[in-house]
Amino acid sequence: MRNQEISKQSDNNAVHFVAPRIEVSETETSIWLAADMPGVGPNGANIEVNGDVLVLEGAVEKNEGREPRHYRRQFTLSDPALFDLEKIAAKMSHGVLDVEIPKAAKPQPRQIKITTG
Amino acid sequence: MLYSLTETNPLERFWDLRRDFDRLFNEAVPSGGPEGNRGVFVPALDVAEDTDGLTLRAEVPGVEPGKLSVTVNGHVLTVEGERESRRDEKSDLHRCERSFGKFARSLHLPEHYDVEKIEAAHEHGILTIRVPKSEAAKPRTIKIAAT
Repeated sequence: MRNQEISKQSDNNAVHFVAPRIEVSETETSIWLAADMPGVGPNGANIEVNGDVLVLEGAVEKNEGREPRHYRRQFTLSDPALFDLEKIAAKMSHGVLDVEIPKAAKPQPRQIKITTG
Repeated sequence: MLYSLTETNPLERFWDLRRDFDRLFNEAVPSGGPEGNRGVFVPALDVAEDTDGLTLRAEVPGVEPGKLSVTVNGHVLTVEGERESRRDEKSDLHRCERSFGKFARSLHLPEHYDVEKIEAAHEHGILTIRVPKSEAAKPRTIKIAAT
């Protein structure tokens, strides 16, 4: 995906959007996303959730002698109700954005007390 | 002076070939598929020359600082490391475009570079190596004496 660069005009500066390479895995409790964004620091990454659309973005802060580079990749969640989107957690370290999307807690079976009359 | 790079690792040609195939594959099938780009990790390397020296820039996202090394042996500069997956082993992998494993890239630096003064920095998954030219190789302005 790295080779797919899309140019977009903004404020007369050409910004190159690069789709980061990703990894998607699933545990019992969460979906995990990892995206390679070399050059992006902890303050340069951004995650946005809008309805069923999840967007991962990263801006390279220092790109000496180069055009500014922006990473961007968008996902559509098949069923947002399956996830607890309020509790998305993310970490940016050594140029990798790790995102955890917790699954929504399943309704627990509830025991109904039977009162004897 | 135009700088020419000599790859000293015989495997390098193979990796280059492999990368070309990967590129071909990526362009033909944009998202690769669930198992798309699994393979050996090879950091992308850029080399730029200016009047004072060379700047090498290698993309090593996810490589821990302790797993990265830069060595100089004579005029051969080697960048070595290992990229490990942080994925929970018990998790199910749905899609993997990222690759992992050990890597090594070696470059032969021409004689007019000062290998004693190489500096390296690692930040946000990018390794930057600065190789200065030896003083004698830097452009010099000759003063013209007025008579």
